[in-house]
Amino acid sequence: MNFANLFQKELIKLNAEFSSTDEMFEALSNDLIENGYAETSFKQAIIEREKEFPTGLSTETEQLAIPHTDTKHIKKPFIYIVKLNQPLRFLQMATTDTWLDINIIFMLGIKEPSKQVGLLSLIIDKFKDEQFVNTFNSISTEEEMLAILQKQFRSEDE
Amino acid sequence: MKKVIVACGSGVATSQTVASKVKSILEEKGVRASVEAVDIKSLDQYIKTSDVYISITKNTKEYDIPTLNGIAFLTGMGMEEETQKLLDALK
Repeated sequence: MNFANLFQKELIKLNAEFSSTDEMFEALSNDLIENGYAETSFKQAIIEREKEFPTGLSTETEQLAIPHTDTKHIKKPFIYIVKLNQPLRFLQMATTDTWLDINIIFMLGIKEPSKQVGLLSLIIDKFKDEQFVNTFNSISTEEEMLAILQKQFRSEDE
Repeated sequence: MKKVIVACGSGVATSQTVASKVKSILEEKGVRASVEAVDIKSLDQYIKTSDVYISITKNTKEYDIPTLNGIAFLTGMGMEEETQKLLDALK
Protein backbone atom coordinates (compact mmCIF):
# COMPACT_ATOMS: atom_id res chain seq x y z
CA MET A 1 0.00 0.00 0.00
CA ASN A 2 1.24 3.43 -0.92
CA PHE A 3 0.72 5.61 2.13
CA ALA A 4 0.85 8.82 0.08
CA ASN A 5 -2.64 8.03 -1.22
CA LEU A 6 -4.04 8.27 2.28
CA PHE A 7 -3.55 12.05 2.33
CA GLN A 8 -6.24 14.23 0.76
CA LYS A 9 -6.52 17.99 0.59
CA GLU A 10 -10.03 17.83 2.09
CA LEU A 11 -8.53 16.00 5.09
CA ILE A 12 -5.98 18.65 6.05
CA LYS A 13 -6.94 21.39 8.49
CA LEU A 14 -4.38 24.04 9.35
CA ASN A 15 -4.79 26.89 11.86
CA ALA A 16 -7.66 24.97 13.40
CA GLU A 17 -9.25 26.01 16.68
CA PHE A 18 -11.40 23.85 18.93
CA SER A 19 -12.43 24.33 22.52
CA SER A 20 -12.15 20.64 23.41
CA THR A 21 -11.03 17.32 21.99
CA ASP A 22 -14.66 16.19 21.82
CA GLU A 23 -15.52 19.23 19.72
CA MET A 24 -12.61 18.49 17.41
CA PHE A 25 -13.55 14.82 17.09
CA GLU A 26 -17.12 15.81 16.21
CA ALA A 27 -16.04 18.23 13.49
CA LEU A 28 -13.51 15.81 11.97
CA SER A 29 -15.96 12.92 12.15
CA ASN A 30 -18.59 14.95 10.31
CA ASP A 31 -16.12 15.65 7.49
CA LEU A 32 -15.15 11.98 7.30
CA ILE A 33 -18.75 10.76 7.30
CA GLU A 34 -19.86 13.35 4.70
CA ASN A 35 -16.96 12.51 2.40
CA GLY A 36 -17.49 8.75 2.62
CA TYR A 37 -14.41 7.82 4.64
CA ALA A 38 -16.17 6.71 7.81
CA GLU A 39 -19.42 5.15 8.98
CA THR A 40 -21.77 7.28 11.08
CA SER A 41 -20.75 5.16 14.08
CA PHE A 42 -17.22 6.58 13.80
CA LYS A 43 -17.94 9.75 15.79
CA GLN A 44 -18.94 8.05 19.00
CA ALA A 45 -16.34 5.32 18.55
CA ILE A 46 -13.40 7.72 18.22
CA ILE A 47 -14.49 9.84 21.19
CA GLU A 48 -14.96 6.81 23.43
CA ARG A 49 -11.77 5.09 22.37
CA GLU A 50 -9.65 8.16 23.07
CA LYS A 51 -11.07 8.26 26.60
CA GLU A 52 -10.38 4.59 27.21
CA PHE A 53 -7.12 4.26 25.26
CA PRO A 54 -5.52 7.69 24.89
CA THR A 55 -3.22 8.33 21.92
CA GLY A 56 -0.93 11.22 22.87
CA LEU A 57 2.71 10.53 22.00
CA SER A 58 5.93 12.31 22.80
CA THR A 59 9.17 11.87 20.84
CA GLU A 60 12.49 13.65 21.44
CA THR A 61 11.46 16.43 19.09
CA GLU A 62 7.69 16.74 19.01
CA GLN A 63 4.37 15.77 20.57
CA LEU A 64 1.43 14.50 18.57
CA ALA A 65 -1.76 12.52 18.94
CA ILE A 66 -2.77 9.64 16.69
CA PRO A 67 -6.46 8.99 17.42
CA HIS A 68 -7.87 5.88 15.76
CA THR A 69 -10.55 3.29 16.33
CA ASP A 70 -11.78 -0.11 15.18
CA THR A 71 -11.74 -1.04 11.49
CA LYS A 72 -15.50 -1.59 11.34
CA HIS A 73 -16.10 2.18 11.52
CA ILE A 74 -13.87 2.87 8.50
CA LYS A 75 -15.16 2.81 4.92
CA LYS A 76 -12.05 4.01 3.11
CA PRO A 77 -8.57 4.32 4.68
CA PHE A 78 -7.41 7.86 5.41
CA ILE A 79 -5.15 10.10 7.44
CA TYR A 80 -6.70 13.34 8.68
CA ILE A 81 -4.10 15.99 9.56
CA VAL A 82 -4.86 18.84 11.92
CA LYS A 83 -2.57 21.63 13.10
CA LEU A 84 -4.06 23.50 16.04
CA ASN A 85 -3.44 27.16 16.84
CA GLN A 86 -4.15 26.51 20.50
CA PRO A 87 -3.03 23.17 21.89
CA LEU A 88 -5.54 20.63 23.22
CA ARG A 89 -4.73 18.35 26.12
CA PHE A 90 -4.35 14.67 25.36
CA LEU A 91 -3.38 11.92 27.75
CA GLN A 92 -0.19 10.16 26.84
CA MET A 93 -0.77 6.67 25.57
CA ALA A 94 -0.91 4.04 28.33
CA THR A 95 -1.14 6.60 31.13
CA THR A 96 -3.97 7.98 33.22
CA ASP A 97 -2.20 11.08 34.49
CA THR A 98 0.38 12.31 31.96
CA TRP A 99 -1.22 15.14 30.01
CA LEU A 100 0.42 16.48 26.86
CA ASP A 101 -0.30 19.81 25.15
CA ILE A 102 -0.79 18.74 21.56
CA ASN A 103 -0.86 20.88 18.41
CA ILE A 104 -0.50 18.10 15.85
CA ILE A 105 -3.14 15.48 15.15
CA PHE A 106 -2.78 12.55 12.77
CA MET A 107 -6.14 10.82 12.88
CA LEU A 108 -5.72 7.37 11.38
CA GLY A 109 -8.44 5.56 9.47
CA ILE A 110 -7.14 2.04 9.31
CA LYS A 111 -9.11 -0.54 7.38
CA GLU A 112 -6.58 -3.36 6.93
CA PRO A 113 -4.15 -3.41 9.87
CA SER A 114 -1.78 -5.95 8.31
CA LYS A 115 -1.27 -3.78 5.21
CA GLN A 116 -0.86 -0.57 7.16
CA VAL A 117 1.51 -1.87 9.79
CA GLY A 118 4.40 0.32 8.64
CA LEU A 119 2.35 3.50 8.66
CA LEU A 120 2.45 4.41 12.33
CA SER A 121 6.17 3.75 12.71
CA LEU A 122 6.79 5.88 9.65
CA ILE A 123 4.77 8.75 11.09
CA ILE A 124 6.62 8.51 14.40
CA ASP A 125 9.99 8.32 12.64
CA LYS A 126 9.12 11.54 10.79
CA PHE A 127 8.34 13.26 14.07
CA LYS A 128 11.69 12.20 15.51
CA ASP A 129 13.37 13.96 12.59
CA GLU A 130 14.02 17.58 13.46
CA GLN A 131 14.24 18.67 9.85
CA PHE A 132 10.83 17.18 9.03
CA VAL A 133 9.32 18.68 12.19
CA ASN A 134 10.62 22.15 11.28
CA THR A 135 9.25 21.86 7.76
CA PHE A 136 5.93 20.49 9.01
CA ASN A 137 5.52 23.29 11.54
CA SER A 138 6.37 26.04 9.06
CA ILE A 139 3.80 25.00 6.45
CA SER A 140 0.84 27.36 6.24
CA THR A 141 -1.25 26.17 3.30
CA GLU A 142 -3.17 22.93 2.75
CA GLU A 143 -1.74 22.56 -0.78
CA GLU A 144 1.81 22.76 0.47
CA MET A 145 1.09 20.33 3.30
CA LEU A 146 -0.43 17.81 0.91
CA ALA A 147 2.57 18.04 -1.44
CA ILE A 148 5.10 17.60 1.39
CA LEU A 149 3.28 14.67 2.96
CA GLN A 150 2.76 12.88 -0.33
CA LYS A 151 6.44 13.28 -1.08
CA GLN A 152 7.56 12.15 2.39
CA PHE A 153 5.28 9.11 2.49
CA ARG A 154 5.46 8.10 -1.16
CA SER A 155 8.22 5.52 -1.41
CA GLU A 156 7.18 3.50 1.60
CA ASP A 157 5.28 0.77 -0.20
CA GLU A 158 4.34 -2.26 1.84
CA MET B 1 10.10 -21.20 21.39
CA LYS B 2 9.46 -18.30 23.77
CA LYS B 3 6.46 -16.15 23.06
CA VAL B 4 6.04 -12.37 23.33
CA ILE B 5 2.61 -10.77 23.14
CA VAL B 6 1.78 -7.13 22.50
CA ALA B 7 -1.66 -5.70 23.23
CA CYS B 8 -3.35 -2.36 22.61
CA GLY B 9 -6.91 -1.10 22.68
CA SER B 10 -8.14 -2.29 19.32
CA GLY B 11 -5.19 -4.17 17.85
CA VAL B 12 -5.43 -1.84 14.85
CA ALA B 13 -2.35 0.30 14.86
CA THR B 14 -0.12 0.45 17.90
CA SER B 15 0.20 -3.21 18.87
CA GLN B 16 0.93 -4.15 15.25
CA THR B 17 3.56 -1.44 15.04
CA VAL B 18 5.22 -2.39 18.31
CA ALA B 19 5.13 -6.11 17.43
CA SER B 20 6.86 -5.44 14.14
CA LYS B 21 9.49 -3.27 15.86
CA VAL B 22 10.13 -5.91 18.53
CA LYS B 23 10.39 -8.62 15.88
CA SER B 24 13.09 -6.71 14.06
CA ILE B 25 15.01 -6.02 17.30
CA LEU B 26 14.98 -9.73 18.18
CA GLU B 27 16.09 -10.70 14.69
CA GLU B 28 18.91 -8.19 14.91
CA LYS B 29 20.00 -9.60 18.27
CA GLY B 30 19.71 -13.16 17.00
CA VAL B 31 17.03 -14.11 19.54
CA ARG B 32 14.45 -16.65 18.41
CA ALA B 33 10.98 -15.89 19.78
CA SER B 34 7.51 -15.46 18.39
CA VAL B 35 5.94 -12.01 18.65
CA GLU B 36 2.21 -11.57 18.32
CA ALA B 37 -0.11 -8.56 18.45
CA VAL B 38 -3.28 -9.45 20.30
CA ASP B 39 -6.57 -7.81 21.17
CA ILE B 40 -6.74 -6.50 24.76
CA LYS B 41 -10.06 -8.31 25.19
CA SER B 42 -8.39 -11.69 24.71
CA LEU B 43 -5.29 -10.80 26.72
CA ASP B 44 -6.02 -13.04 29.72
CA GLN B 45 -6.13 -16.18 27.62
CA TYR B 46 -2.89 -15.28 25.80
CA ILE B 47 -1.02 -14.44 29.01
CA LYS B 48 -1.19 -18.09 30.10
CA THR B 49 0.84 -19.28 27.13
CA SER B 50 3.25 -16.34 26.83
CA ASP B 51 6.63 -15.45 28.34
CA VAL B 52 6.63 -11.67 28.02
CA TYR B 53 3.80 -9.14 27.79
CA ILE B 54 4.43 -5.79 26.14
CA SER B 55 1.76 -3.36 27.22
CA ILE B 56 0.49 -0.28 25.37
CA THR B 57 -2.42 0.42 27.68
CA LYS B 58 -2.65 1.43 31.28
CA ASN B 59 -2.39 -1.74 33.33
CA THR B 60 -5.24 -2.37 35.68
CA LYS B 61 -4.02 -5.85 36.55
CA GLU B 62 -0.78 -7.48 37.58
CA TYR B 63 0.39 -10.44 35.56
CA ASP B 64 2.72 -13.29 36.47
CA ILE B 65 4.97 -12.77 33.45
CA PRO B 66 7.41 -9.87 32.86
CA THR B 67 5.51 -6.83 31.59
CA LEU B 68 7.29 -4.19 29.50
CA ASN B 69 6.43 -0.65 28.46
CA GLY B 70 5.40 -0.79 24.79
CA ILE B 71 5.43 2.98 24.30
CA ALA B 72 9.24 2.87 24.49
CA PHE B 73 9.32 0.70 21.37
CA LEU B 74 6.86 3.03 19.66
CA THR B 75 8.55 6.37 20.28
CA GLY B 76 12.13 5.27 20.97
CA MET B 77 12.07 7.03 24.36
CA GLY B 78 13.55 4.59 26.88
CA MET B 79 13.83 1.87 24.27
CA GLU B 80 17.31 0.64 25.21
CA GLU B 81 16.21 -0.07 28.75
CA GLU B 82 13.09 -1.96 27.67
CA THR B 83 15.09 -3.88 25.05
CA GLN B 84 17.46 -5.04 27.76
CA LYS B 85 14.53 -6.17 29.92
CA LEU B 86 13.12 -8.02 26.93
CA LEU B 87 16.39 -9.80 26.23
CA ASP B 88 16.77 -10.74 29.92
CA ALA B 89 13.23 -12.11 30.00
CA LEU B 90 13.87 -14.25 26.93
CA LYS B 91 17.13 -15.76 28.17
